[in-house]
Amino acid sequence: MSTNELTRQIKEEIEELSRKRNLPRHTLLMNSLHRIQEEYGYIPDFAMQELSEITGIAPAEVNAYVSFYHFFSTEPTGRHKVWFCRTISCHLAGKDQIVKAVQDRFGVKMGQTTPDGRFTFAFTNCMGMCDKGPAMLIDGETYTKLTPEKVLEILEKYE
Amino acid sequence: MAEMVNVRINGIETEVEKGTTILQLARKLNIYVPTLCAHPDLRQAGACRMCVVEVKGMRTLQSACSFPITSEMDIFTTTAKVRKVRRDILALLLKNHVGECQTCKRNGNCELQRLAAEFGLHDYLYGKRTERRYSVDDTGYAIVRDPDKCINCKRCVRTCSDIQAVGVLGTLYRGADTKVTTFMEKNIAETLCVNCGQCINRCPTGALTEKDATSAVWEALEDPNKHVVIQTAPAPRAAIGELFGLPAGTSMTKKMNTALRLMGFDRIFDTNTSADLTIMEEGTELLIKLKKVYIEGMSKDEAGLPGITSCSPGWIKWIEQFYPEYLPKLSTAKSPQQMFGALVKTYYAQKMGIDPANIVSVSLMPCTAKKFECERPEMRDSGYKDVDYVLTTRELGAMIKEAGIDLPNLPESEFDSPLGLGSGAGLIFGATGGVAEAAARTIWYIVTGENVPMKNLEVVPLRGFEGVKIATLPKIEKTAPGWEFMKGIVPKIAVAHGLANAKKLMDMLKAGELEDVFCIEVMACPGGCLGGGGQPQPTSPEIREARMKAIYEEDRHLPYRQSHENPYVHQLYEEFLGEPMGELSHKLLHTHYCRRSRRM
Repeated sequence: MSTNELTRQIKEEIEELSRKRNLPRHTLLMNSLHRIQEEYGYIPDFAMQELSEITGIAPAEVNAYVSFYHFFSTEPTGRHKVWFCRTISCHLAGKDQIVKAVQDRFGVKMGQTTPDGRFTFAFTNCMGMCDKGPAMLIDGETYTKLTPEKVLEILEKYE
Repeated sequence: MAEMVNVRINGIETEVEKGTTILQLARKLNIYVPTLCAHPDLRQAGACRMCVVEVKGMRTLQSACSFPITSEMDIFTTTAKVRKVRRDILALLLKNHVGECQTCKRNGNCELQRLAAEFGLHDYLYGKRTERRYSVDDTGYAIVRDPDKCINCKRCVRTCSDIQAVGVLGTLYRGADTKVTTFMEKNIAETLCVNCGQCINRCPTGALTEKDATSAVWEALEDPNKHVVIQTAPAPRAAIGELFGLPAGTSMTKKMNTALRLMGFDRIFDTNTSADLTIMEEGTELLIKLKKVYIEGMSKDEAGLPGITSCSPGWIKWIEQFYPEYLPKLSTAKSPQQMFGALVKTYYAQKMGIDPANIVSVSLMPCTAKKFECERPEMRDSGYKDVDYVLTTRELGAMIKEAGIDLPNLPESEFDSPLGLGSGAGLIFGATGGVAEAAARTIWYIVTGENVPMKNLEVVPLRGFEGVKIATLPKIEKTAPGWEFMKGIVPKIAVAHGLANAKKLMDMLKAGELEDVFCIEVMACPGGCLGGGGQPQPTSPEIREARMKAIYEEDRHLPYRQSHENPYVHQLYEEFLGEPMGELSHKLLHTHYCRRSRRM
């Protein structure tokens, strides 16, 4: 993805959104940002600037949204983004062992991407799966009641 | 009829319009509520919580600045709870505020320092961070950011986006990691920052300051081999007194001349002289454009109408970035500062028999963007750097104090010749609408052979602080020989100040709504130069109004009120430049612009 411009399709989608009347600016921004991240796997610098140009929202404000929300990334990530819940219930249910198993198997730490670009692992706060911990999220899919064996099994399914 | 609500504040029964904030109510009744993030020029943020008050029946304290009164209530601003919470908030702000008051540019004029004094904080209740977390960003030409002194009030963020339509400052991250910084935390030099300095004017602390030129100027003044000349712009005169405890709008022109002499400047000149030249050049240029349309039948667009003013370097960088397709309409005339610079190292050097290499050309400006302008590579038409150093009003104030000079009590003195006489038209460049008014006075005279038909030459429709003004002048009934084609025309002039207003105007232009407008004046800063980013802090509509009055008052009493009447301007053209838009004028007094990328 070496181009420095949004694809025409995304551009048109954002333009379409910004023409909608009475659409609150945060909805416009969030929908556009999700769309960009879906396409590129992260939110590139140029994309924020272009989004600002199309919507007339200050570049720094676009950046503020991106930096505020944990699930937006400004750096390229692996093909699959894996979030482990780090909040108290999942912690008590054994999240440390899960994380250790993953780190040992793939040789990278939380916040890092595997050298083959397959996974990016990171912590997240509570996902609302407190009764079924430890929990993880892969590409929007939730997995619960993990064990060190189960987590590796699940990850193997993602190429 | 607005709906009224009964309220009690500190026991005082009163009635307010529904929707009034508690802070507005308190201010109206002269009840003091401390604030930090609130600013009269900006939308409310509710970011700092300094203004908390107690409302009867509510469990938590409310921030007065962002609480609209919608029903009957009982408000208390002085209770023990209020006092303790405000103290705590202040102590927490001070904990993260790294910096030493004694060596800070804002020492003595810092809102955080003042509040700490007001609250009698004699100790850091929650400790004090001593190690820096961030580095100082001095990569730009004009603005220096020291994020360790930032208290996240977001005044600069609101200024950059809402007043200036630039939007490079933002609040990134969240919670304890929240910080005010630039887009993607880039160095200020890599951003779209236009160097206007409006963020500096509104910063409550020393987190935003101008890039220092005082050391370099002192060095030049102390060098016996250097001939140091200074040109002084009109707006600083109306504001520098504020740095010495005088009320806003105290005109200091002649006392400042004396101070500059005491500091060791060899010649003290008046930027108004070159402002008059700007009018002659820009006016002639506009008239040539009109001739192209009305005599040669060229389209307005092709001829470059409406002509757009080019005196404000913040505006120039802004239009180069955001509306480059309109650059052909910009006047090629340089700003008064740069015209002056080009003349100092050519005309003046020759006249005085001084090697231009030994001249140090300093300018006193109300502006931070001028620091950027003088560094532009195009600004070396004299063969040297036309203007070597730009001092802001604040910087000169600091230098005068450092020299131990008591400005308010100095005797008055005049400018030096030959570049020390400006007309009132040059002077009013300092206020929004002033360039347009100065141009109107001279162009009207050239076209009709008579003075502009306004009482005291005051073109009132161009004055005042309305964001976008479109003024209609009287119909041209009578013309001087050669200008018959202008007969029957009703000249229209548009004026904007503050870049968000300029954006409105540019969008109107784009939409074809300014078809019959001849010229557009844009000043980057609210109020024009008198509200410039180099002017004393604080700033507010009232302060700018007072400075504006001082400028218009001084204009009223000057011997020459119109640029074309200035005898020095005639002398300059006769002795040196030839004629407006002539060959030498073109070389020294005109410039070109560049399309800049919008990408950072």
